[in-house]
Order: sequence, then structure tokens, then C-alpha cells
Amino acid sequence: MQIENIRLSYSTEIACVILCCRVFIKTAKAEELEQFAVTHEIDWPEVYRLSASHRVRPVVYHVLVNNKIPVPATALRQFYNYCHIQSVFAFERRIESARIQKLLFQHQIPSRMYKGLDFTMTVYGDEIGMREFTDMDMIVDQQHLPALIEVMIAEGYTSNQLNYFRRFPKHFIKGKKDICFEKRNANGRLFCFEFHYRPTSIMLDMPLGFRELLGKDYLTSTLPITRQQYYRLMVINHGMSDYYPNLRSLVDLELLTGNHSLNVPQLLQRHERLGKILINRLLKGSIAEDRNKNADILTKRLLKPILPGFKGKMTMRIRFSTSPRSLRRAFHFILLPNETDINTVSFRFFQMYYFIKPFRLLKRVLRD
Amino acid sequence: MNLENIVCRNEEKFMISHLGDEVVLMDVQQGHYININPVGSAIWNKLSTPLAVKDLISSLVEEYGISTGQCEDDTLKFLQKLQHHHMLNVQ
Repeated sequence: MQIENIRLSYSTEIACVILCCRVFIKTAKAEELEQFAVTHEIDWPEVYRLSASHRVRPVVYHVLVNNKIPVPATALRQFYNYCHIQSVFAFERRIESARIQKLLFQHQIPSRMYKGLDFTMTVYGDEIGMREFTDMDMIVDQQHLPALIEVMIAEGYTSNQLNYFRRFPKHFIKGKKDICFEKRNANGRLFCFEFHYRPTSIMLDMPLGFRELLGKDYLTSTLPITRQQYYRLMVINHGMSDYYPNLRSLVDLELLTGNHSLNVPQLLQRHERLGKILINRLLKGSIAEDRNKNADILTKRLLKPILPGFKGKMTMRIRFSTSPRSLRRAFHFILLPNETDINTVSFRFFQMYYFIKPFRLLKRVLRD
Repeated sequence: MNLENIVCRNEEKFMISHLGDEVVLMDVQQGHYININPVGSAIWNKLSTPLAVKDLISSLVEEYGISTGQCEDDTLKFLQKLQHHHMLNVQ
């Protein structure tokens, strides 16, 4: 898609954000962005808001400053303030991740850094503050969850999933892919850990686990996760699980791929293809018509001022179901009780929560 | 420190992030943050390889079009600050 078409069909501001991403990944020249900024009236607070919802504020700021694009000082300050906080927080999270990993190791709980910081260091060239992220992700083995919970609680972390895990551990492990903890540090900043024992929810009908994707030594290897391994993990994470929810997911994949020849197993290929179409359209400005109904829907969503929430994700999950079995799983996923249901009411049997979930969902859909 | 010293930045204890034309560092052991302004960042970037202080000053004078005397004063002060925070190796 041409920037001018995006501008005319959607908004000047989303066109500006996309152009910044293109300059960042070098599919557009800085002169084009400069010309764009000079010739159009841009609502810079809106550019900031869109950059935030697409999680590309550091990328946009980096491009605007390094290419000396004429931007009002107040707008640039807004980006600077966020990026400064993000960098400092990234430093702190890196230290805390290393501390927790060491602690887990001392308790014979093997873990491996994944996504977030580790991905940023691998793909964004050691620029720790260049990629927006909130959680610290680690891979663990599900058999270590009880011991891991003890360690994290002893460290002052809390989790709203503990009640669920303790009351229905088998359902938890079957239905969830990770367990999450959080804690505020002395400065009030929130540290969030996600310990993944499966790359996707079991409801996505994905037979590949970390062992298949990263190898038998996926927890104990001291080698960094390779680009090829990350490519598979990110097609699963950004594509299969989240349906390319923002521009960051596309920038991630494009930076990861670069000139490398990477591939995914057959069952991920349509998700990979979807990502490639979106990258071609939005980040590479391809004007060749690559007809794909799902890509058309996602393209429109990515260009709209408000990104899709829960309802949008669920719609895509149903659209992507290819067989009655996967459709059933998608519906099951929607109706599967979670920690919110279990923390709200106390039922003796897990199955009883299936009755209250639809009401909560309906409320959420109406709110969306 | 004098003009004949060879200086090079010491990154060992620091995590570094570039914010446009500024540099933010965190001292991993002390937990302190250090912000370096654009001119300081330009100096920091030049110090990725060992460099004589006099050569550093010459390049800054040329780049920023300022007097040698003023540049010497400001640069030496800045380098001393870096040294104070263990961010500089001096030979």
C-alpha cells in the first residue's frame, strides 16, 4: 500500500507511523518522511497515541530524532519521556530477570529467557530500549510450577492465578500456557513475570511444544535462542495466538527475517503467509494485490485508530478454525473458565464455572 | 588527566541505551542511572576505540566550530566526570 493511499483512506497520522516503521526497517528513505512531515498537517499527539497502541514508540522516536524530522518540541518531548522511562525500566527488568533466573536455578528449577528482553537483544541489535515490552518471559517445565510458585511468593511476588492453580491444578495446566506474577519495586514500577510451559494455549490445537521447537535441551541449553527458533516462536506468538495485533509484531518479524532464510513447520505456514502479506502491504508498500480475506480484515484493523480488543481476537480465532475439531476448540477456548471466574465465585467443581463464563463474556463483548 | 592521555570508554559495568542523540547508562553494580546529553554522547561515541585526548579535542573543535581553549576546558571536565563514574579507561 502506498503511504498516500493510507493517508487518504485512513489518516495522516497512521500513515506517518507506518512511514516511520518503514524508515526504521529501511524500506523507505528518511527524505520521504521528511517530505511527508513538511507537506502535511500532522496531529502529533495522535501520532504518539497511535505509536503507543501499535507499541512502536521507541522506533518512531528513533526515526524522528536521528533523521532530524521537523517535529514540534512538545511532541518530541512526549516520545522522549516515554523512551527514557522505557530504557531505565528495561535496565531494571534485565537485572531482575537475571536475579530471578539465578534464584530459580538455585532451587533446581531450570528456566530460559524468552521473548521480551532476550528477543530485543537478539533482533534489535542490543538496543534494550528500542522495543516496547512489559513482561519478562521465561520458559519453564510445568512439573516445576509448585516449586516456582513458592520461590516467587517468597520474593514478594503475587499472582491472581494462585487460587486457580491450587484448586484445579490439572485444569490450569491443561487450559493455560503460563503462570504470571507481579510485584512493584521500591520506585513503584511493576515487574511482571510470565513463566511459559507451553508456547500457545492448548485450545489453539498446536501440537508443537517448546521441546519440538527448541530441541530436547530447550531448558538447559546455554546457547541463545537462534533466529530460526525465534522465527517459529514469533509466528506462533504474533501470528497464531494474536493475529498480528499491532505494527510492532510486523516490525519484529521483518527484523528477524532480514536477509535470512527462515522457515516454519507446515502447520504454521498459513500464519507465516498472513504475516508476510501484512508486512508486504504495510511495511514494504507492496502494491501487488495478494488476495487474502483474513489479511484484508487484519490490514483494515491495523490501520484503524482503535486496535481490536477481545472481540476482534475471538472473531479471528473462529475464522482461522479449519476443521470442526479446531472450531470446537476455539469455542471451548472462549468458554473455558479462567482465574477471573474462579476468583469471583467459589464453586466446588470446575465444570460449574462454565455456566458463569458466558455471562462475563457477554458483558465484556458489550463493553468492547 | 592531560592532553597526552589515551582514553577509551569503559562499558563493562554498564547497560547502555541510545535515546535519539542521547545516551542513557545504568551502572549495574551501583544501580545508578547516568544521562549523557547530545554533545557528551558524541564524545562517548568517539571513545569506542582508544583515542588521545588532544585528538579528541581537535575533532570536536572541527565538528562544532568552537574555540580550542573552550573545548579543552569543557572536554577535560567531561572526561573527569566519566572517570569519576568509572566510565573511562585512561592510559
